[in-house]
Amino acid sequence: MKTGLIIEDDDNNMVLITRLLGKAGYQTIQATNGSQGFEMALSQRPDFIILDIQLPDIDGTEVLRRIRNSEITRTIPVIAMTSYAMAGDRERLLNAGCDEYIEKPIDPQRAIAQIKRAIGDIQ
Amino acid sequence: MINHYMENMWSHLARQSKTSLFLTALILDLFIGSIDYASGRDVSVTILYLIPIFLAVWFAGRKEGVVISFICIVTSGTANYFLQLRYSTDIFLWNLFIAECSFLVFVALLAQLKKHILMKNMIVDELRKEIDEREKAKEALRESEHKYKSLFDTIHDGIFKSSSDGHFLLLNPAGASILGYSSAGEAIGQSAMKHWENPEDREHLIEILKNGGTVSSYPIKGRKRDGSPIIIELSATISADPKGEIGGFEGTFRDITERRQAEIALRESEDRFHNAFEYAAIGMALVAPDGRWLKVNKSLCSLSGYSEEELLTMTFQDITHPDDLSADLEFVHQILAKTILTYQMEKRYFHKSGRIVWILVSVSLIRDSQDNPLYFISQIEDITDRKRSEEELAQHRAHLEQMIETRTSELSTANKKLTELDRLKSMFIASMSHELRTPLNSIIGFTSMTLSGMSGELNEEQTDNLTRAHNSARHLLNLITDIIDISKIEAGRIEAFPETIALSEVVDDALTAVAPQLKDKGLTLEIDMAPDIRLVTDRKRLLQCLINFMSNAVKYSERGVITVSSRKVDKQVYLSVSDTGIGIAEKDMHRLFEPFERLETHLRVKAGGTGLGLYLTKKLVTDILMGQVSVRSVEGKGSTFSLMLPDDIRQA
Repeated sequence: MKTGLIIEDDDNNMVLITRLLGKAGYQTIQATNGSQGFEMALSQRPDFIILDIQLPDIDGTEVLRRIRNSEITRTIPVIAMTSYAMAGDRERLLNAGCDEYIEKPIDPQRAIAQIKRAIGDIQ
Repeated sequence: MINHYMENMWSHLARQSKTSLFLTALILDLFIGSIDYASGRDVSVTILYLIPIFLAVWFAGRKEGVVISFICIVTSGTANYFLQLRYSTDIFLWNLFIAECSFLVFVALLAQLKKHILMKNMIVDELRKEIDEREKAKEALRESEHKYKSLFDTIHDGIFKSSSDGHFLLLNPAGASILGYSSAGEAIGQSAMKHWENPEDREHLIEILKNGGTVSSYPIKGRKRDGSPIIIELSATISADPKGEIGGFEGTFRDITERRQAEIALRESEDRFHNAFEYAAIGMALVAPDGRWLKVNKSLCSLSGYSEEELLTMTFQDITHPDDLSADLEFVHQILAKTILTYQMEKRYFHKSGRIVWILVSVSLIRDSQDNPLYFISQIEDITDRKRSEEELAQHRAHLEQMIETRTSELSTANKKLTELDRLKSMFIASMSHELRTPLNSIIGFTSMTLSGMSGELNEEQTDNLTRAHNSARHLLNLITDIIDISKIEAGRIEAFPETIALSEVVDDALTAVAPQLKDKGLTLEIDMAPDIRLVTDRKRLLQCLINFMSNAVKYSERGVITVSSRKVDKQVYLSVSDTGIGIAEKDMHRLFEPFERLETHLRVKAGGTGLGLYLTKKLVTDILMGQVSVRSVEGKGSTFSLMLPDDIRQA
């Protein structure tokens, strides 16, 4: 069973993503800010990371940069999540090294499909 | 001729001094005396003594002749004495006495003869002079007659003589021509009556002539021979016959028709000019170089309050405000010195009542042919009202400036507040963006998850309830998204992110978004797109617009076809979405792209919508995508919404 790290500051969204991944058959670990999230990524080495871009301490983009710059976490698939995506966010984030991009509000079935595709569970 | 010569000779000699003649006679006498002595007193020689006596009497006068005769006796006696002839003294003296008496008789006779001859010469001269004068007079008369005849024939004035009953007795060619006859001969014997326009004028004239004898330059309205009107100036007198009765009339006349017409024209012209001056709407005046009013019109009288008579005794200086006088006089000085030709100034007059009248005076100077100043022409306009308006305006302006100053400071304060408000608004929007969306995202996410059946089966009512909650949350999220977009566009804080895209891909994405609703309503979709249209634009915003058009098309169509078509012409891309829906009424067209406008249709409630969709779309297209939006619609038939976009917004 694959384990996903969810880095998300909003409690409700955290619950939503957690349940969604649970229904899809994944284990989850949670971090509620950027620095905690990066530390957990280093220590727990999850199979994939769901990263909210709007975080209270450090920006999600910065967290992504750190993940990609670390030997330990470099290859972990990262799925970025934004609320009200700005034009160009999608390109910016994909260029910065995330594997998939999900816009809020989340469409559960579509989101699961996107995640599975990103981590290679479906083609 | 001889007489003439004699006359000259005579007068020449007469001019000689009597003394020299006398001496000549004396020398001659002595010469004869010596001959007398030498000849021994021959009687024949004695006669020679008569020669000097003759000379003296003829050329000098009787007295000189007497003196010479005595000298001759003395000379002769002296000769006798020296010869001592046998005469006794008595006989000697007696002889001398006899001889002297003879000489005196000779002198007397000679003087008488000379007088007689002179008298005769004088008479002859007189007669000759008189004859000469008569000859001259005759010649002069002939010349005069010739001159008068020539004058009579060639003078431009008519000369006439008529009988007492008004028939022409004499008329010169000019007169005939004036009255319309081809020659004078034609007129002679004709009645002059028909040349009078008013016969009573003739009666009147004859009356004047009877009383005063002559008229001169008397104007008469007449008629030519052919009846055409003519104005004649007549100078005439009565010619009395030997018995003292009226024998007829004679005189001269001339055609003054043209002159009179010219005079009338001139008078009319003068009248017009006078009226133009007198009744001009502005004050007009002729002013002497020293400032006296020479002529003033009604307007000037009324604006100054003085009558014409009063003004004509005054000067312009009298009614000019003292503060304005020096400036005016300076102008007058300059115009007299020819430094300037005209001038115009605003100044104040004192009205007769004492109040101030503001005027605008325009002045020019008229000079005579020797360039001496004659008078000024002044045009005087009452500008009191204008001045008052200007003053009021100035006050208003001052007041306004004061107000503007106040307002400016108020605005400055307001501006500071606005800047602060703008900052707050930005904060609010940012806050909306995050704080409002986050809970909505939660609601939408959870309801979707539950509705998808992931959390277990739902009954029909639960599904319906949750669907309504889900849709409301989506609606609210769309509304917030639209408002944030609009705010950002209006604040100029939204930027385009140009990328190269295939139009067909954007259309596919939009179709994906509306496919469920399309399917639900059973509408047909037609795609009519030119192949391979690529353009550089903001993909997300274009998609947003297209989705908006398409969801509108779906919402407002109950049956039929939705058609998406595209074309590229030069550097323009045309993209349109047509439907066969309810269409838009002509009267509602102008409200279509206004914010919060939702047209009143039977689909209004069912279709839903924020009332911001088209407003936002238009803003996005014009402000971000650099294109244009247009719409065609027929109520009840359907609508076509079109976009016209540049193929590269970086160059638009």
